[in-house]
Amino acid sequence: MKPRERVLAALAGEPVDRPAVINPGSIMTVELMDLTGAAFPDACRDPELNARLAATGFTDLGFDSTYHHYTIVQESSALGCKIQWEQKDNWPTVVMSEPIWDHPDQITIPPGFLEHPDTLCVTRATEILKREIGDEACIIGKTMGPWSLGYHTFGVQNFLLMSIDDPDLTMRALHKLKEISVMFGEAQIAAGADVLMFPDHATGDLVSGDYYRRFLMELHQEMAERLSVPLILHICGYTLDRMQYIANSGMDCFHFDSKNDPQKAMDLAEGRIRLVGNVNNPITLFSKGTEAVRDEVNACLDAGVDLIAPECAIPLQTRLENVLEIPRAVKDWAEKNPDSVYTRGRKSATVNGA
Amino acid sequence: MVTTDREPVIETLARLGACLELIPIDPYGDDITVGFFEKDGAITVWSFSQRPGTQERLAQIRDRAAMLGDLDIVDGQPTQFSFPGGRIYRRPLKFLARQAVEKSPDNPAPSGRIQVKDLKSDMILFTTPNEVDGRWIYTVDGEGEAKRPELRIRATVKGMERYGEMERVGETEVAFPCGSRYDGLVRVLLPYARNVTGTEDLLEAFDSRGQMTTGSLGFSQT
Repeated sequence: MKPRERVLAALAGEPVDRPAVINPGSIMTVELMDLTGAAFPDACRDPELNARLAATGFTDLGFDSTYHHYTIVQESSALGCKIQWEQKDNWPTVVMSEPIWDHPDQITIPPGFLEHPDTLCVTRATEILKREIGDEACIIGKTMGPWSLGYHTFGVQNFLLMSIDDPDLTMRALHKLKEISVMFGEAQIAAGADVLMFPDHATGDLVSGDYYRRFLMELHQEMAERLSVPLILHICGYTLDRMQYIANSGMDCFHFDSKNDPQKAMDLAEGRIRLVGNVNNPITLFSKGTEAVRDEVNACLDAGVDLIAPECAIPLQTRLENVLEIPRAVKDWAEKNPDSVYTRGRKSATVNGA
Repeated sequence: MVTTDREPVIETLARLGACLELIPIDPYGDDITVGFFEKDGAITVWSFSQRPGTQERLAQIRDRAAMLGDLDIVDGQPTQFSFPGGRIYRRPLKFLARQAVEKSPDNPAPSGRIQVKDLKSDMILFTTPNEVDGRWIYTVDGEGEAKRPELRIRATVKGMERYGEMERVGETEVAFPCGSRYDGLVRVLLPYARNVTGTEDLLEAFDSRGQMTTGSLGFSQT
């Protein structure tokens, strides 16, 4: 199978020749920036540099996909938020202590939103990647969900307080913010994105599982209906307590954190949603060696996790040998387990791996 | 074009070996990333950067690292050095690599007694190398005013064990397990060894930079 076909088949629960290994989050490192001459922050703002750097995930590291919307800031920058662009070795971020809105009535999508340099960078880079390697590689785009956009534009504290003080007002805000997610998502689909990552940080560190059900589940169902490519929902942190709701979100796949046991996550998902993850970043990929990476990949595969990936954007200073070990371990596992739930397909197999 | 003809990363890494240390930004080398890779006992100073002048800068870093750490340069290999005692000490290399990359290449080579001012007293902490039965032993001592000098000296000895991978061979004495004399390495380590808490904070700051977490993204300010 071509890598692109493999990813799309895996997301649909169909048989694959081997487990798909993807990056629904950045796998870019400072060394890859040197390799391509495309360093942060310029590589987040210039489409040529952006695409050149992203391609290495497929061409050099052996993943089945590319992912070029590295930051969480592109949409928010186009909305008018203040951005701290940082430098090569750190992530750009939204200055959430300086919110731009404090009431849903203020939410407006600027007329030139899709022509802003920071959104245009993403769509242009999508076109470049699609044109140059899109026959082979699965091009994964990203559009931030309304909850995350709420943090960016209202400030984290203000947004969470509003959700406690006035849930109806919060819902009004979310319904307006979701139009940004749809607009940017559709622009990337038109530019050639095969799949969209949909981060919406209703993380266990900040809100309860019930919050997800009350505020986001139906909204995510709507997103899945309106955006015409497979969606991968991403929520950081502990999420097993909301997995039953996430499994009913209508999203094709859920990108889950290493704080969640892969087997437990698979058991809770019960095949209602595909799962992708969940190799630990700060400890395993960043601090340990290739053996530990391989062990985690194997644990995911043994649990039958649908697609294999790091849990989130990997640290920018991760050693490349550890990143390379992920696809390597997947391929080795597949050779040892030629008859598995992956090759049989989900629709006719049990949940467990081999 | 998003792709170009070049050696695949996987082959480059097979040639270089394991990455022991990565310095993300070289302030004296056009912000390139510098890696220290080990294979068969030789450490290669490496960058994936294609910028003009990169090879010269890597050779300069190699020379600086060898000079600061009392290590051997590998003949005929302008970017390689080795530990003459054979054993590679990864933790000290972490500090040595930072010094070689991030400090000005114009700084003169340090010389004289291996010493540093204590941060918690007016004492000067110093170490003295002595050869005992073919093994080089470093004695930590102090001079000047301190309320309880023995505590400061003992803390520094612990720091040398921690950051130097050194063995304690007496109340105030440490040695490298291979028994080699590495005065330069000890000189690099001493400022870190005297202040374990501060050094741990520093290491944590190095490690947390470039991590994408709810904290670093600003999602945990509530």
